[in-house]
Amino acid sequence: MRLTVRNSTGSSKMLRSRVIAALAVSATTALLLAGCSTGGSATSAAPIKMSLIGVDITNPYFLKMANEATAAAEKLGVDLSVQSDGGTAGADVVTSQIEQAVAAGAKAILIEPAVGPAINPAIKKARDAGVLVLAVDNPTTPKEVVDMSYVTGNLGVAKSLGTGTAANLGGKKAVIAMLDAFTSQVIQVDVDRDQGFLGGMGIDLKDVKVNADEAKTGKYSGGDYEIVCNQETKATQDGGRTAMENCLSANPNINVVYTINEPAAFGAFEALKAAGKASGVTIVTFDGSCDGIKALKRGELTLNAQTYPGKQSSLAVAAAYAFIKDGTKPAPTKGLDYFDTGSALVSAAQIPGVETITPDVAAGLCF
Amino acid sequence: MTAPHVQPRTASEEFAARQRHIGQRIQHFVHGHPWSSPLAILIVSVVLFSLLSPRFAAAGNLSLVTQQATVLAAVSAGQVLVLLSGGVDLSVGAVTVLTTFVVGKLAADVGVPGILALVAGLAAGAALGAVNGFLVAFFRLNPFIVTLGTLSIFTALVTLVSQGKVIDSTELGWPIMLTADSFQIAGFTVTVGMVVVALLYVVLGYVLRQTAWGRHVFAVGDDAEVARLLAIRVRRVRISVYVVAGVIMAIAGWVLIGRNGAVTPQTALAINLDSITAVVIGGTGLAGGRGSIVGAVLGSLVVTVFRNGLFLAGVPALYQDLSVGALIIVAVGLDMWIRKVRA
Repeated sequence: MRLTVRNSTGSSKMLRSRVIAALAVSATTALLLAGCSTGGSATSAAPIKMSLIGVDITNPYFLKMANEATAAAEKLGVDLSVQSDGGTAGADVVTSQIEQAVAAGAKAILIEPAVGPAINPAIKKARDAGVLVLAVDNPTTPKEVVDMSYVTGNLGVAKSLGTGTAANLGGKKAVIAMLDAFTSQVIQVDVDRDQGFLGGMGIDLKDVKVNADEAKTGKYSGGDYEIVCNQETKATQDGGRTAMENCLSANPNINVVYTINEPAAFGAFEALKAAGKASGVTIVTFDGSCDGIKALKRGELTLNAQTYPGKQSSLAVAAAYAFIKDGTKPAPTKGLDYFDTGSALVSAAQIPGVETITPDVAAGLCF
Repeated sequence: MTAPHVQPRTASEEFAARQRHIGQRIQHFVHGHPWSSPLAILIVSVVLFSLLSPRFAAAGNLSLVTQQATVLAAVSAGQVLVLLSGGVDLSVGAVTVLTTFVVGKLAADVGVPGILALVAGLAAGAALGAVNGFLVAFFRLNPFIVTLGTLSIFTALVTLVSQGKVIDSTELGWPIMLTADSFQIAGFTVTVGMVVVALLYVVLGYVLRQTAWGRHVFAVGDDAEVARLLAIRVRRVRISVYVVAGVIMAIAGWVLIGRNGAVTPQTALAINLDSITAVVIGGTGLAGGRGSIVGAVLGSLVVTVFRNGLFLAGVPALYQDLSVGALIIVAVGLDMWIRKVRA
C-alpha cells in the first residue's frame, strides 16, 4: 500500500524555484551559444542565407559534405545553416526543415532528397517563393523538381560495382550476401544501391523499386548465383557484423558481400575474420572515405565506389551564389541534365574491361 | 468413544491454507522470481527455432547469437539499475559510444597507455552518468525528458569528437582490444567480452542483493516517500545509480570496441530503446522497485534469439520486427498481470 506524504507549501515552493532556476540556466546557455555562433560576422550588410537540408551529420560522408559547404560559404560571405536529421528522419521532418528555411529568409536551399518524392510539394512551394533549390548527392524523383542537381546517381555507381564484381568472379558461382541499410523501411538510396549492384551483375531485378524480390537462385552475367540473405545493418558497424554473422549461419560459403556503406562493410569484415574467412570473399561498398581506402589497401575490402560529397556541396554553394548575385543559371555537365560530380571505382587490382583507379590515387581524393 | 478434539483454525490459518487455482500459483511464483518468465520464453524460443531450422542449434550459431547479445546485455544491466531506482535512461547508447571515443582518442592521438585510457573511459562514463543523475535528482526533472535531452547532447559530442573518423584496432593496442579475443569450449566460441559481461552481472547481482546500497535502490524505486521516511538519502541514491550506470556503459563500450574491431561513431544506434525492450522482456517493471538483473541478460538473449531464429527460419524481415513488437506487448502485459498478485 502506498503511503503518500505531501508536504504542502514548503516543497512545492522549493520545486518552483528549482524549475525557475533550471529554465533560467537553459535560457542563458541557449542565448550565449546563439550569440557565440553568430558573433563572427563582420559585415554590416545582411549576408545571403542558404540552407543545407536532409543530411545526417553523424555519418562521416555527410559530415564532410556539411563541412565543405560551410567552408565554401564562409569564403563567399554566405550564411549557411545545416539542418541535420540526426539519423533517418521521415519526409515530414525534411518538409518542415524546408519550410523553416524559406521562412527564415534563405535564398537558396541545398537538399539531399534521399527520403523520396514526398518532399516534392515543399520543394515546389520553395521555388514558387523564389528560392533556388539544388539537389546534392541524390537526384530528386523526377529530376526536374529542383533547379539543378549536383549528384552522382547511386544507381549508376552501384552498377559499376556490380559489373566490376562480375568481372572479378571470372565465371565462378556467386554466393551473395546483401547487407542493406534497412529491411523495415524503404529509403531511396538503399534501393538504388542494392538494385544497381544486382543489375550491374546482370541479375534479373523483377521490380527495380523493391529490394529482396529477386529470385534466390539464377544466372548472373558470368554464371550461376545464389542470394543467401537480405539483412539490415542500419548502416552501422555492429549492425554489419551481426548481419554478416547471421548470413554465414545460413550459408557459410558466401563469396560476395554487398554492403550499403563502409561502416557496414567494416563490420562484415570483422565477422568474416572471426569465421576464418578473412580472404577469398569479395566485399564491395560505397563512399571511398580515407578510412575505407585504408581498409581496401589492407585487403579487407575489394571494391569501393568513391564519391565526392565535399565537391557536391561546395560546387552547389558556389553555383547558388553566382545565381543570386548576377542571375547566372546553374549549368549541368555537358551532355547531361545534371552536374555529375563524378565517381570512381577503387580497386587494388586491375579489372579487365572495367575502369578503376588505384587506392593510392583514391587516397589523395578521399574525405 | 469421544471424537478427538481438533482445534478450530483461525481465520488467517484458513486463509493461508486456501486453495489457489493454477493461475494464481503461477502468478505468485513469477512475482517472487521475476527471471522465470523470460527464462521460459527463452527456452520455448530456442526449442521452437531449433525445430524450424537445423542451422539454428549449431554450436557456431548459438555462440554467434550470444556474442550478438553481449553488448546489449551489458547496456541493459545499467538500464535495469536505473529502472529499479524508479528512473529511466534513454541516453545509454550515446554514453557507451562517447566513452569509447574517450578511450580511443587518448590511446591513439595522445599516446596514453591502454590500461590508463580504459580507466579514463570508466571515469568519463561516471561523469556522464553524474550529469544525468544530477539533473534528475537536483532539478527534479522527469528522467525520461532529461535523458532524452542528454541523448541529443552526448550524440552531438560524439560527432564533434569523432569528426566521423574511425580509430582502427592497430592504433588501439592490446588491453583495449582484449575483449575481441576468444577461446573455444566444446565448439562454442567464448569471447573475452562475454566473460567481462558475465563478471559484471555477478558483481552487480551481489551488490543489489547483499549490500545496503542495493537495498536502498530497490526502496527508492518502490516508494521514494517511504524511503525518505526510513532515512534513506533518496537524492544521493538516485545520483549514484546514474553514476554506476555510466560506469557500466563504459564497460559496455570496451566490449563494443572488441566487437567492432575499432572505435567508431557509426555504431549502437538502436541500443537506447533496445535496452528498454530487453529489460522489460526480462521482467523489470517500468515503474521501479521490482526487477531482475538476471532477467536483463535473459531479455537480451530473447530479443537476439528471435531475430536470428526468425531469419534462419526464412521469415521475411518485416515479420521479424512485427514479432519483436508483439513480444514486447506480451511482456508488458505479463508484467502488469504479475503486479496484480494479491496476498
